[in-house]
Amino acid sequence: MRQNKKPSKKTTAAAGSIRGKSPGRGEGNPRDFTRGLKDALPIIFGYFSASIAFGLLARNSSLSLWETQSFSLFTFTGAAQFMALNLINSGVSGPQIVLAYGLLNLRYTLMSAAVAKKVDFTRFFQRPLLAFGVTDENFAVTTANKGQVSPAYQGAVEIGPWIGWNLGTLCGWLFGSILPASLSAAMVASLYALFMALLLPDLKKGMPWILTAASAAGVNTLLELFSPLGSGWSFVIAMMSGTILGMFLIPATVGTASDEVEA
Amino acid sequence: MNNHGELNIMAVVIAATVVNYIIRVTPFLMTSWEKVPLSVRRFLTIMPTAALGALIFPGAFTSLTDTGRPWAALGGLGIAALAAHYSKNLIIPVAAAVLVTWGILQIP
Repeated sequence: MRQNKKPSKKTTAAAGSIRGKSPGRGEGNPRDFTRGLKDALPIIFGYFSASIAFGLLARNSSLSLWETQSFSLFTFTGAAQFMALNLINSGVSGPQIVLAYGLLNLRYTLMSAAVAKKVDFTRFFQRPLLAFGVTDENFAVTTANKGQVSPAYQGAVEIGPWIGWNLGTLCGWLFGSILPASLSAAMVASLYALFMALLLPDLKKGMPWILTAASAAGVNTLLELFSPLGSGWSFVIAMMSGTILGMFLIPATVGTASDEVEA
Repeated sequence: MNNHGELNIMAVVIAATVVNYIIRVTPFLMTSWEKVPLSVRRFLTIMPTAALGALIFPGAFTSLTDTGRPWAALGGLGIAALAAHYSKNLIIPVAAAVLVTWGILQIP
Protein backbone atom coordinates (compact mmCIF):
# COMPACT_ATOMS: atom_id res chain seq x y z
CA MET A 1 0.00 0.00 0.00
CA ARG A 2 1.06 3.49 -0.72
CA GLN A 3 2.03 6.08 1.73
CA ASN A 4 0.96 9.38 0.22
CA LYS A 5 3.74 11.65 1.36
CA LYS A 6 3.17 14.20 -1.33
CA PRO A 7 0.22 13.17 -3.45
CA SER A 8 1.38 13.98 -6.93
CA LYS A 9 -1.75 13.27 -8.88
CA LYS A 10 -0.15 12.18 -12.14
CA THR A 11 1.78 9.31 -10.65
CA THR A 12 -0.59 8.18 -7.93
CA ALA A 13 -3.53 8.14 -10.33
CA ALA A 14 -1.98 5.08 -11.87
CA ALA A 15 -4.22 2.14 -11.28
CA GLY A 16 -2.76 -1.33 -11.15
CA SER A 17 -5.18 -4.09 -11.87
CA ILE A 18 -5.58 -7.37 -10.06
CA ARG A 19 -4.02 -9.02 -13.05
CA GLY A 20 -1.11 -6.62 -12.85
CA LYS A 21 -1.71 -4.94 -16.20
CA SER A 22 -0.20 -1.62 -17.07
CA PRO A 23 -1.69 1.24 -15.12
CA GLY A 24 -4.53 3.35 -16.44
CA ARG A 25 -4.69 7.06 -16.02
CA GLY A 26 -6.84 9.57 -14.23
CA GLU A 27 -10.35 9.72 -12.93
CA GLY A 28 -12.34 9.49 -16.13
CA ASN A 29 -10.65 6.62 -17.88
CA PRO A 30 -13.44 4.43 -19.28
CA ARG A 31 -11.00 1.51 -19.43
CA ASP A 32 -10.66 1.68 -15.66
CA PHE A 33 -14.42 1.52 -15.35
CA THR A 34 -14.62 -1.49 -17.65
CA ARG A 35 -11.80 -3.23 -15.79
CA GLY A 36 -13.60 -2.55 -12.53
CA LEU A 37 -16.76 -4.14 -13.88
CA LYS A 38 -14.77 -7.17 -15.04
CA ASP A 39 -13.11 -7.58 -11.65
CA ALA A 40 -16.50 -7.21 -9.98
CA LEU A 41 -18.29 -9.69 -12.23
CA PRO A 42 -18.11 -12.59 -9.76
CA ILE A 43 -19.54 -10.31 -7.07
CA ILE A 44 -22.34 -9.15 -9.35
CA PHE A 45 -23.16 -12.79 -10.05
CA GLY A 46 -22.89 -13.82 -6.40
CA TYR A 47 -24.91 -10.88 -5.13
CA PHE A 48 -27.62 -11.48 -7.69
CA SER A 49 -28.06 -15.04 -6.41
CA ALA A 50 -27.83 -14.19 -2.73
CA SER A 51 -30.31 -11.33 -3.00
CA ILE A 52 -32.85 -13.57 -4.71
CA ALA A 53 -33.00 -15.34 -1.36
CA PHE A 54 -33.42 -11.98 0.37
CA GLY A 55 -36.27 -10.91 -1.91
CA LEU A 56 -38.04 -14.23 -1.46
CA LEU A 57 -37.59 -14.20 2.31
CA ALA A 58 -38.78 -10.60 2.57
CA ARG A 59 -41.92 -11.42 0.64
CA ASN A 60 -42.54 -14.38 2.95
CA SER A 61 -42.13 -11.99 5.89
CA SER A 62 -44.92 -9.95 4.24
CA LEU A 63 -42.84 -6.95 3.34
CA SER A 64 -44.12 -5.04 0.33
CA LEU A 65 -42.03 -4.93 -2.83
CA TRP A 66 -41.14 -1.29 -2.18
CA GLU A 67 -40.09 -1.97 1.43
CA THR A 68 -37.98 -4.93 0.31
CA GLN A 69 -36.40 -3.01 -2.54
CA SER A 70 -35.64 0.01 -0.33
CA PHE A 71 -33.54 -2.15 1.96
CA SER A 72 -31.38 -3.17 -0.98
CA LEU A 73 -31.35 0.23 -2.72
CA PHE A 74 -30.43 2.33 0.27
CA THR A 75 -28.65 0.17 2.86
CA PHE A 76 -26.94 -2.29 0.49
CA THR A 77 -25.60 -4.63 3.18
CA GLY A 78 -25.92 -8.36 2.75
CA ALA A 79 -25.86 -9.94 6.17
CA ALA A 80 -27.54 -7.04 7.94
CA GLN A 81 -30.55 -7.18 5.64
CA PHE A 82 -31.11 -10.84 6.41
CA MET A 83 -30.68 -10.09 10.10
CA ALA A 84 -33.21 -7.27 9.87
CA LEU A 85 -35.77 -9.67 8.37
CA ASN A 86 -35.13 -12.04 11.23
CA LEU A 87 -35.64 -9.33 13.82
CA ILE A 88 -38.73 -7.97 12.07
CA ASN A 89 -40.22 -11.46 12.13
CA SER A 90 -39.49 -11.90 15.82
CA GLY A 91 -41.26 -8.64 16.61
CA VAL A 92 -38.22 -6.61 17.70
CA SER A 93 -38.80 -2.85 17.93
CA GLY A 94 -37.58 -0.42 15.27
CA PRO A 95 -34.81 1.30 17.30
CA GLN A 96 -33.39 -2.08 18.34
CA ILE A 97 -33.29 -3.22 14.73
CA VAL A 98 -31.44 -0.05 13.73
CA LEU A 99 -28.99 -0.50 16.62
CA ALA A 100 -28.28 -4.09 15.60
CA TYR A 101 -27.87 -2.91 12.02
CA GLY A 102 -25.24 -0.40 13.10
CA LEU A 103 -23.36 -2.91 15.26
CA LEU A 104 -23.29 -5.54 12.56
CA ASN A 105 -21.99 -2.99 10.09
CA LEU A 106 -19.34 -1.36 12.28
CA ARG A 107 -16.81 -3.49 10.45
CA TYR A 108 -17.31 -1.28 7.40
CA THR A 109 -15.38 1.44 9.22
CA LEU A 110 -12.22 -0.63 8.81
CA MET A 111 -13.05 -1.66 5.27
CA SER A 112 -13.93 1.88 4.24
CA ALA A 113 -10.64 3.05 5.72
CA ALA A 114 -8.71 0.48 3.69
CA VAL A 115 -10.61 1.35 0.50
CA ALA A 116 -10.34 5.12 1.03
CA LYS A 117 -6.58 4.69 1.35
CA LYS A 118 -6.46 2.75 -1.90
CA VAL A 119 -8.39 5.17 -4.15
CA ASP A 120 -6.70 8.15 -5.76
CA PHE A 121 -9.37 10.78 -5.40
CA THR A 122 -9.14 13.65 -7.83
CA ARG A 123 -12.18 15.61 -6.63
CA PHE A 124 -13.66 15.91 -3.18
CA PHE A 125 -17.20 14.85 -4.17
CA GLN A 126 -15.84 11.41 -5.06
CA ARG A 127 -15.28 10.68 -1.38
CA PRO A 128 -18.89 10.84 -0.10
CA LEU A 129 -20.08 9.20 -3.32
CA LEU A 130 -17.73 6.20 -3.28
CA ALA A 131 -18.29 5.71 0.46
CA PHE A 132 -21.84 4.56 -0.23
CA GLY A 133 -21.18 1.18 -1.78
CA VAL A 134 -18.31 -0.37 0.17
CA THR A 135 -19.05 -3.99 1.08
CA ASP A 136 -17.03 -6.97 2.35
CA GLU A 137 -16.74 -8.30 -1.17
CA ASN A 138 -15.81 -5.24 -3.19
CA PHE A 139 -13.44 -4.19 -0.41
CA ALA A 140 -11.65 -7.50 -0.97
CA VAL A 141 -11.47 -6.90 -4.74
CA THR A 142 -10.22 -3.32 -4.38
CA THR A 143 -7.55 -4.12 -1.84
CA ALA A 144 -6.30 -7.04 -3.95
CA ASN A 145 -5.09 -4.53 -6.55
CA LYS A 146 -1.45 -3.64 -6.66
CA GLY A 147 -0.90 0.02 -5.98
CA GLN A 148 -3.66 2.61 -6.17
CA VAL A 149 -6.96 2.42 -8.06
CA SER A 150 -8.73 5.25 -9.85
CA PRO A 151 -12.14 6.58 -8.80
CA ALA A 152 -13.60 5.22 -12.05
CA TYR A 153 -12.40 1.73 -11.18
CA GLN A 154 -13.76 1.97 -7.65
CA GLY A 155 -17.05 3.34 -8.97
CA ALA A 156 -17.46 0.30 -11.21
CA VAL A 157 -16.53 -2.10 -8.43
CA GLU A 158 -19.35 -0.59 -6.32
CA ILE A 159 -22.10 0.12 -8.81
CA GLY A 160 -21.96 -3.24 -10.59
CA PRO A 161 -22.61 -5.29 -7.44
CA TRP A 162 -25.20 -2.72 -6.32
CA ILE A 163 -27.15 -3.29 -9.52
CA GLY A 164 -26.76 -7.06 -9.16
CA TRP A 165 -27.95 -6.97 -5.56
CA ASN A 166 -30.99 -4.88 -6.46
CA LEU A 167 -31.95 -6.87 -9.55
CA GLY A 168 -31.69 -10.05 -7.50
CA THR A 169 -33.85 -8.57 -4.76
CA LEU A 170 -36.47 -7.64 -7.33
CA CYS A 171 -36.39 -11.05 -9.02
CA GLY A 172 -36.45 -12.82 -5.66
CA TRP A 173 -39.54 -10.96 -4.52
CA LEU A 174 -41.30 -11.48 -7.84
CA PHE A 175 -40.25 -15.01 -8.86
CA GLY A 176 -37.98 -16.44 -6.14
CA SER A 177 -40.26 -19.32 -5.41
CA ILE A 178 -39.81 -20.97 -8.82
CA LEU A 179 -36.00 -21.44 -8.67
CA PRO A 180 -34.64 -24.97 -7.97
CA ALA A 181 -32.92 -25.00 -4.57
CA SER A 182 -29.75 -26.78 -5.69
CA LEU A 183 -29.13 -24.19 -8.40
CA SER A 184 -29.52 -21.18 -6.13
CA ALA A 185 -27.28 -22.82 -3.51
CA ALA A 186 -24.59 -23.49 -6.10
CA MET A 187 -24.83 -19.90 -7.30
CA VAL A 188 -24.18 -18.61 -3.79
CA ALA A 189 -20.99 -20.71 -3.90
CA SER A 190 -19.66 -18.21 -6.42
CA LEU A 191 -19.13 -15.69 -3.62
CA TYR A 192 -16.89 -18.06 -1.66
CA ALA A 193 -15.01 -19.06 -4.79
CA LEU A 194 -14.30 -15.38 -5.35
CA PHE A 195 -12.94 -15.04 -1.82
CA MET A 196 -10.73 -18.07 -2.37
CA ALA A 197 -9.42 -16.69 -5.65
CA LEU A 198 -8.62 -13.39 -3.94
CA LEU A 199 -7.01 -15.07 -0.96
CA LEU A 200 -4.73 -17.43 -2.90
CA PRO A 201 -2.11 -14.81 -3.90
CA ASP A 202 -1.81 -13.85 -0.19
CA LEU A 203 -1.35 -17.47 0.81
CA LYS A 204 1.51 -17.80 -1.68
CA LYS A 205 3.41 -15.05 0.15
CA GLY A 206 4.38 -17.50 2.85
CA MET A 207 3.60 -19.04 6.18
CA PRO A 208 2.90 -15.82 8.15
CA TRP A 209 0.16 -14.93 5.68
CA ILE A 210 -1.26 -18.44 5.70
CA LEU A 211 -1.43 -18.37 9.49
CA THR A 212 -3.10 -14.95 9.43
CA ALA A 213 -5.90 -16.20 7.19
CA ALA A 214 -6.15 -19.58 8.91
CA SER A 215 -6.41 -18.13 12.41
CA ALA A 216 -9.18 -15.73 11.33
CA ALA A 217 -10.96 -18.64 9.64
CA GLY A 218 -10.59 -20.83 12.72
CA VAL A 219 -11.76 -18.20 15.20
CA ASN A 220 -14.74 -17.31 13.02
CA THR A 221 -15.76 -20.96 12.65
CA LEU A 222 -15.51 -21.60 16.40
CA LEU A 223 -17.45 -18.46 17.30
CA GLU A 224 -20.17 -18.97 14.72
CA LEU A 225 -20.74 -22.58 15.62
CA PHE A 226 -20.31 -22.50 19.38
CA SER A 227 -20.91 -18.96 20.65
CA PRO A 228 -24.12 -16.97 21.06
CA LEU A 229 -22.57 -13.98 19.25
CA GLY A 230 -24.20 -13.18 15.94
CA SER A 231 -22.28 -13.68 12.71
CA GLY A 232 -21.48 -9.95 12.58
CA TRP A 233 -19.60 -9.93 15.88
CA SER A 234 -17.98 -13.29 15.24
CA PHE A 235 -16.63 -11.93 11.99
CA VAL A 236 -15.28 -8.75 13.57
CA ILE A 237 -13.53 -10.64 16.38
CA ALA A 238 -12.11 -13.22 13.96
CA MET A 239 -10.87 -10.58 11.56
CA MET A 240 -9.27 -8.56 14.35
CA SER A 241 -7.55 -11.52 15.99
CA GLY A 242 -6.23 -12.79 12.66
CA THR A 243 -4.89 -9.35 11.79
CA ILE A 244 -3.25 -8.89 15.19
CA LEU A 245 -1.57 -12.29 14.91
CA GLY A 246 -0.47 -11.29 11.42
CA MET A 247 1.07 -8.08 12.72
CA PHE A 248 3.33 -10.18 14.92
CA LEU A 249 4.24 -12.71 12.25
CA ILE A 250 4.50 -10.62 9.09
CA PRO A 251 7.77 -8.69 8.62
CA ALA A 252 7.59 -5.10 9.80
CA THR A 253 8.33 -3.67 6.36
CA VAL A 254 4.90 -4.73 5.10
CA GLY A 255 2.46 -1.84 5.17
CA THR A 256 5.15 0.80 5.08
CA ALA A 257 6.09 2.96 2.11
CA SER A 258 8.88 0.67 0.96
CA ASP A 259 6.36 -2.07 0.55
CA GLU A 260 3.89 -0.31 -1.71
CA VAL A 261 4.52 -2.59 -4.67
CA GLU A 262 4.12 -5.72 -2.60
CA ALA A 263 0.86 -4.73 -1.00
CA MET B 1 -48.35 -14.15 8.23
CA ASN B 2 -47.76 -10.55 9.21
CA ASN B 3 -45.67 -10.60 12.37
CA HIS B 4 -44.51 -7.03 12.36
CA GLY B 5 -47.76 -5.37 13.38
CA GLU B 6 -47.45 -1.62 13.32
CA LEU B 7 -43.68 -1.54 12.90
CA ASN B 8 -42.97 1.10 10.30
CA ILE B 9 -40.59 -0.69 7.94
CA MET B 10 -39.79 2.42 5.94
CA ALA B 11 -38.74 4.27 9.09
CA VAL B 12 -36.38 1.39 9.89
CA VAL B 13 -34.97 1.52 6.37
CA ILE B 14 -34.36 5.27 6.57
CA ALA B 15 -32.70 5.09 9.99
CA ALA B 16 -30.59 2.10 8.94
CA THR B 17 -29.55 3.98 5.79
CA VAL B 18 -28.35 6.96 7.81
CA VAL B 19 -26.48 4.79 10.34
CA ASN B 20 -24.85 2.76 7.58
CA TYR B 21 -23.79 5.76 5.59
CA ILE B 22 -22.19 7.45 8.59
CA ILE B 23 -20.22 4.26 9.28
CA ARG B 24 -19.03 4.04 5.68
CA VAL B 25 -18.38 7.71 4.97
CA THR B 26 -16.36 8.69 8.04
CA PRO B 27 -13.08 7.07 6.94
CA PHE B 28 -13.54 8.50 3.44
CA LEU B 29 -13.62 12.04 4.77
CA MET B 30 -10.25 11.67 6.45
CA THR B 31 -8.01 13.25 3.85
CA SER B 32 -4.57 12.96 5.42
CA TRP B 33 -3.23 9.48 5.92
CA GLU B 34 0.24 10.71 6.84
CA LYS B 35 -1.05 11.43 10.30
CA VAL B 36 -2.26 7.88 10.72
CA PRO B 37 0.21 5.88 12.85
CA LEU B 38 2.31 3.25 11.11
CA SER B 39 0.76 0.47 13.17
CA VAL B 40 -2.71 1.39 11.91
CA ARG B 41 -1.50 1.39 8.32
CA ARG B 42 0.09 -2.01 8.85
CA PHE B 43 -3.16 -3.21 10.37
CA LEU B 44 -5.10 -2.07 7.31
CA THR B 45 -2.62 -3.79 4.98
CA ILE B 46 -2.83 -7.14 6.72
CA MET B 47 -6.56 -7.01 7.48
CA PRO B 48 -7.81 -8.06 4.02
CA THR B 49 -6.03 -11.41 4.35
CA ALA B 50 -7.61 -12.12 7.72
CA ALA B 51 -10.97 -10.85 6.48
CA LEU B 52 -10.92 -13.25 3.53
CA GLY B 53 -10.13 -16.19 5.80
CA ALA B 54 -13.08 -15.33 8.01
CA LEU B 55 -15.33 -14.66 5.03
CA ILE B 56 -14.73 -18.16 3.66
CA PHE B 57 -14.97 -20.14 6.90
CA PRO B 58 -17.51 -21.19 7.92
CA GLY B 59 -19.76 -19.29 5.48
CA ALA B 60 -18.92 -21.46 2.48
CA PHE B 61 -20.17 -24.50 4.42
CA THR B 62 -23.09 -23.01 6.34
CA SER B 63 -24.50 -21.49 3.14
CA LEU B 64 -25.08 -25.07 1.96
CA THR B 65 -26.71 -26.33 5.19
CA ASP B 66 -30.16 -26.32 3.61
CA THR B 67 -28.99 -28.70 0.90
CA GLY B 68 -27.89 -31.26 3.53
CA ARG B 69 -24.41 -31.37 1.96
CA PRO B 70 -22.33 -28.55 3.47
CA TRP B 71 -19.16 -30.49 2.62
CA ALA B 72 -19.90 -29.83 -1.06
CA ALA B 73 -18.23 -26.48 -0.38
CA LEU B 74 -14.88 -28.31 -0.18
CA GLY B 75 -15.20 -29.21 -3.85
CA GLY B 76 -16.04 -25.66 -4.85
CA LEU B 77 -13.28 -24.08 -2.75
CA GLY B 78 -10.71 -26.63 -3.91
CA ILE B 79 -11.39 -26.11 -7.59
CA ALA B 80 -11.46 -22.33 -7.04
CA ALA B 81 -8.01 -22.40 -5.40
CA LEU B 82 -6.65 -24.64 -8.13
CA ALA B 83 -8.04 -22.46 -10.92
CA ALA B 84 -6.81 -19.28 -9.22
CA HIS B 85 -3.34 -20.80 -9.03
CA TYR B 86 -3.18 -21.17 -12.80
CA SER B 87 -5.35 -18.26 -13.96
CA LYS B 88 -5.23 -14.57 -13.10
CA ASN B 89 -8.78 -14.25 -14.36
CA LEU B 90 -11.28 -14.21 -11.49
CA ILE B 91 -14.18 -15.53 -13.55
CA ILE B 92 -12.60 -18.94 -14.19
CA PRO B 93 -12.33 -20.05 -10.54
CA VAL B 94 -15.81 -18.74 -9.85
CA ALA B 95 -17.42 -20.47 -12.82
CA ALA B 96 -15.56 -23.72 -12.04
CA ALA B 97 -16.69 -23.61 -8.41
CA VAL B 98 -20.34 -23.08 -9.31
CA LEU B 99 -20.23 -26.00 -11.75
CA VAL B 100 -18.48 -28.33 -9.30
CA THR B 101 -20.74 -27.38 -6.39
CA TRP B 102 -23.85 -27.79 -8.49
CA GLY B 103 -22.54 -31.11 -9.76
CA ILE B 104 -21.94 -32.41 -6.23
CA LEU B 105 -25.42 -31.29 -5.19
CA GLN B 106 -26.88 -33.20 -8.15
CA ILE B 107 -25.37 -36.55 -7.10
CA PRO B 108 -28.34 -38.57 -5.85
